[in-house]
Amino acid sequence: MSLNSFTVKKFLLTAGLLIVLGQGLWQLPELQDYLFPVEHVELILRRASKECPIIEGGLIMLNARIDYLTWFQAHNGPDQKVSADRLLAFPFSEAIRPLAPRYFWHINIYLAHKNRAKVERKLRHLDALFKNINGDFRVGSAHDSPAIPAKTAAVSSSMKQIKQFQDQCIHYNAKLIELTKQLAWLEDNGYKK
Amino acid sequence: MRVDRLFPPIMIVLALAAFLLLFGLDNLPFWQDEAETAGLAKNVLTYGVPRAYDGVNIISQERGSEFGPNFLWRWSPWLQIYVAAAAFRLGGLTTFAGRLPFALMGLACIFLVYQLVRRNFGDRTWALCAATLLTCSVPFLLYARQCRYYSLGALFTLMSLYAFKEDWQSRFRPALLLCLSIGFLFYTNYLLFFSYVMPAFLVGIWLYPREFPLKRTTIITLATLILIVPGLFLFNIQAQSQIMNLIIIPKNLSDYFGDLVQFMIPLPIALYLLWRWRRVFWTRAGIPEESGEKFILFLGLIIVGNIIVLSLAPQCEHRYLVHLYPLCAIIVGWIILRAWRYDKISGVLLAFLLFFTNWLYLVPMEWLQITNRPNHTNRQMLTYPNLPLRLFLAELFSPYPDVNRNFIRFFQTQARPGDLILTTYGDLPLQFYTPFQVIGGLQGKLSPSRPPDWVVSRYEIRYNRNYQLQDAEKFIREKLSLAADYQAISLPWEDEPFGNRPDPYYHRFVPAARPLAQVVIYKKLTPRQNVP
Repeated sequence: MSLNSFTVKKFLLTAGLLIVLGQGLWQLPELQDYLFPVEHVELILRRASKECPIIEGGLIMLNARIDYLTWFQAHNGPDQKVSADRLLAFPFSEAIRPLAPRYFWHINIYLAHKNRAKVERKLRHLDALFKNINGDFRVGSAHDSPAIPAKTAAVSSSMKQIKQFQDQCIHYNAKLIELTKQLAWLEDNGYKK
Repeated sequence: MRVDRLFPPIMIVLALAAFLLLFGLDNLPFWQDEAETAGLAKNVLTYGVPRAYDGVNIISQERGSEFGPNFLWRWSPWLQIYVAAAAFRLGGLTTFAGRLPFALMGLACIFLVYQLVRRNFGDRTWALCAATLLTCSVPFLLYARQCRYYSLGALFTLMSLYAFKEDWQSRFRPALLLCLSIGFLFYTNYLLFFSYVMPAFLVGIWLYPREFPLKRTTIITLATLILIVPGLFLFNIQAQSQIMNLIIIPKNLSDYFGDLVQFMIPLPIALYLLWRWRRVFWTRAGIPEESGEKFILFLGLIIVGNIIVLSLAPQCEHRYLVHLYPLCAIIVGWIILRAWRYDKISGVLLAFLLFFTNWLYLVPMEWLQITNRPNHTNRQMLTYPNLPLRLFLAELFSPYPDVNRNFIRFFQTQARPGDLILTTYGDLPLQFYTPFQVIGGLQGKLSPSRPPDWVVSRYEIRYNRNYQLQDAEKFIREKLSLAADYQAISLPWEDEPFGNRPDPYYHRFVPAARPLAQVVIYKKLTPRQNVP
């Protein structure tokens, strides 16, 4: 090994460790709070904007799985041919469906419940976060606007966003309740063969 | 061994470890899982065996599957229960007494790591480095400070490795130690036994084929089997294997490997080792000849094998990896030393990052966007780049009343003799610390003879293994009318999910600046007439 390559490797190792050290220092909560104090509301907004797409994705997935189970139940068993669309959406489930329909049914019910519980937990968490904000300033519908204290444009904009997220969550909750009912119906009616 | 022969720095490390493991051991009360062990140990003092029912309360977190009609505990092995019972007998029914033996075993683990490396490889710096790494490992410290099997499992794992590296092929004592440590590992937690022993045996035969004489190996295997056979029948292993679920195996695998690189061996080090040993996977010629590195490979493969076996089990929890922390400390200690010998500056940087920070674990994972951070984590937890020892010391020196402490204090002062408490979680700490009948939690179907006097509906929703609501949650929603029959008492404490849970994903060192949800306790409006 040439001296040059040896030195370059040492340099790269040290540089890599220094980058980690630098980034770790930079991300220390105390330093971040000192340098970039962020409003609690701002943190919740960031959290909500990250969580809402995950919740939406979870609901879409749950909906698709319930449709899949409904189709399976309506067609009364595993005799249907493997479909390319379903294979793309649920590769494992579609592959085992003709081979082990009972296992297919139970595993998909289990996965649907898991999906539902995950969405429910996330929604509950967001709901608690939004309730938490009410300690800072009230967020609500137009008729209670007189209770809102005077605030800066930034705060007002944050409030609008929070209201949007709250409305979104109400919509997600309604959707989740509907899907939960469908899932319960599927479970009660069971695998027919 | 005479103390004056020990290398002095290890005494400093052990003194530091003793402080970290023992100081403020009873700052926080037992949380749910610890209270299960402690409650069963309490019953051992009365009945001589771990009974799940003491005439007032039932200890269960699996809907009553843990015992038969006679309430004899058959779900998990008894060693940890008897260790806690012995501690209660000697030190009284206190939190400190319950945790003390396990913390001391954690200390023994640190010493054994040092001794294992120093004695077999003659490298005191490596030995010291590994022992210091384990001492500075906050997740390990948290687990070792629990009244539960974690440090016991780590100790028996290390003892088996220690015995394996002694001359067990011809000497009686190492052979006996090997047999007993493996046997006792089974009685500590059979999941640890199965996940550790099988890979260790296979990897051992592959890497050290000449060190497995047929006759001695057969004798030790048979002796160990004789030791564990009663346990195989006593504990409901067959029943528990029925809750295996094939679909979750890939998820378990990815979660366990995620845990490994997030808290135990940083991803860059794991990748370096994989690259370094890449030839090992298809040719024996790739096996390192140097004994130290060969042992590191041995440990690395045990860890990988362990995770593969563990992923078959239905529950994926970080606690099942705790016995591997000492092995990881030995591996990472070896890496630090290699880095130091390669380049002094890099060695110092690496040592600083690994002893005092979790940055090398988390920063590369953040780059790859593969960090695992559950909903309720905050920046003062181990899931974010931090100085873990600073967080840990903050908890030791500024303890705060956690959710269990608050509930215990509330019911000790507010409830009356004979009161019935229903809670959706945290029933076992209340059972241990208060004299009341406590139902709910994860105990399963509820059929109380009268409506509960107190109801605690915890913020965190609990689901069973099939992701359906736990029975206590269902009972409150379907059978009780909280609004009509109960008075809601809002209390100014945070309803955090667990309390003193050691899991690095859940452990809180400092209280949340802004509680997410506050505790609400419901008190029955009509007082019972028959209580004076």
